[in-house]
Amino acid sequence: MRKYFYTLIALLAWIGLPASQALADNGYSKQKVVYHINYDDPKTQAGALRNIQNHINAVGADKLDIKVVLHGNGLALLILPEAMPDLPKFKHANANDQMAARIDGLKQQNVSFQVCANTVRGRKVSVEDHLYDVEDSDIVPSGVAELARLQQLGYVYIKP
Amino acid sequence: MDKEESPSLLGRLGRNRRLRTEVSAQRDRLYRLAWSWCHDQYLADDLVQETLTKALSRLDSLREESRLGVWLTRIMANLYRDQFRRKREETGQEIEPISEETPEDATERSLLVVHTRAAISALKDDHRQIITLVDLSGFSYADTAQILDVPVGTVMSRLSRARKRLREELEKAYVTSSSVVVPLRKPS
Amino acid sequence: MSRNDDIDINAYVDGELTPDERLEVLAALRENPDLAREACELHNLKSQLHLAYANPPGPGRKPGRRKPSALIGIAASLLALAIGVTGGWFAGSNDIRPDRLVLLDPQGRGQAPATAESDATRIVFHLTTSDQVAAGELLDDIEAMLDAYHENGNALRVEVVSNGDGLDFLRERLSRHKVRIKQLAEDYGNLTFVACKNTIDRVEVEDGIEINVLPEAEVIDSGVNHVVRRQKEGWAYIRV
Repeated sequence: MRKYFYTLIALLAWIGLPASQALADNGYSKQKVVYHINYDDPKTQAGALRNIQNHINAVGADKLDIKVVLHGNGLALLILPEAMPDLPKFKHANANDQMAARIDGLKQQNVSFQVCANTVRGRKVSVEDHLYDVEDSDIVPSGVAELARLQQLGYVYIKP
Repeated sequence: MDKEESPSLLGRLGRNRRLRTEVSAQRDRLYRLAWSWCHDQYLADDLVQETLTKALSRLDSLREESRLGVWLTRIMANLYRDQFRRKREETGQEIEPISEETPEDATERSLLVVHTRAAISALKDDHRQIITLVDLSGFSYADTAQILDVPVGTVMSRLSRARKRLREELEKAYVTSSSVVVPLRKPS
Repeated sequence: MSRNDDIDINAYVDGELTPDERLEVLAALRENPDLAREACELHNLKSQLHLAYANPPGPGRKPGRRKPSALIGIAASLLALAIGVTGGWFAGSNDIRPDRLVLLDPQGRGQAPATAESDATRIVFHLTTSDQVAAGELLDDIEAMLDAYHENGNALRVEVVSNGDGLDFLRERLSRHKVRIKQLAEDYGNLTFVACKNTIDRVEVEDGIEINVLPEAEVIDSGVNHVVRRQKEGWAYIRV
């Protein structure tokens, strides 16, 4: 049994695909795009989400790999309105029901939202209590470092 | 998983798998550099192939994974010096970046591109290599020194000379060519 | 120009000088227009090279991956989306010149994937806002990165290009981060600041004043041109 297990692992070792390569159904690699949001005005943020949705509508969710990187003021997108009093360093908390619904919708279409740990730490944000639906896996050490890293991996950079 | 099994076998399997993937991922970068040296797609492909083969057979000699790019390029530079320079001369080829394309292809591409490639291939090997390593691949002086196995001081002086020569060649190309095909010196 | 001057200006453009050496060259660039021109030409040479070898003919394409020209088409349509879509309008990619859009549109909203050749991470920050709080946070981010990379011994180059409203950040009279900029420039040889000459000229004419830029900043013809050059060289691009 153990021998089988190790043979299987060895086999997988040669077959395994690197994490960064995702194949769409048609066999082509997905288009990779990273959206950069560091501003907090609710109208502009809503507009950005609309951009993303239009993008998906035009190309197809299964052909896209979209990441949204939030840092600095941009974190306001995910801040729950009731958290406003606790966060003096933010001027906006935009994750009301309507925005949350949009965010959920996008997440179901392969969009992931990455949150900058530096901002979280620097502005004393509690991920559990203040942010809408953010898990540990969504947190990156540095928003700008992540933007650079993704570009090096071939993601197209867009700042809506 | 049974902890009595030696972890190093799995560890090495994991490391080697990861490295193999990363080595293969570098193929495109290596090809671009190789082509800038050879200006011949078959030669360049051969060079890259041999580089990857050699690298994959010596994965254990790569000490720091973060130096993968430098390590691979150094292998390629050595192969070029030992075998491929000679191959280029033996085929008696003038380096004509345009020989692989039809005139139609070439005119599609901008003249700037054509002239730049012509000027680069007119340089002698040393100069061509150093410019492409620093400006095309973006290696630091220290990394370039390691790749070519020369002191950093040599990199600096060779690079400044090479860029001067490149600009002279570029001026020549613009001045002498009215048509797309640019006659070139034989490789030195 | 003497031999050593030659080497210095090359090393300067390649980001290979120590902070002290760089300050010296910066001062020299201000006084000597020939030298400044030389630096500019070297910058252009770099991006020219990238352009020339962006699409070498021949093998090296994995099956199932798009060829670069197709990528450019996609990137162009992405940009069309980014630009046109707030009004709910989607432009067909036929009318769009890919090469112009792909690299940088005037609002800096999109770019083609950087072709990172070496292992080094290179990032150009494009500062176009006068918001000095955002600028301060940018410095925080940059400092954290420089620190982290220094610890790991990985290669990193960071450049901050200020143009338009972002020029305030590098102005003697207006910048609220002078001390910090000076300190960072002294500590890190791989960090550079660039001010846009076009913006300087424009503001000087409009406001009728003379603008002094911080000594740590290099004055370059056009901030936007420079950002495009860096992208052509394969730098990651982040707009602040």
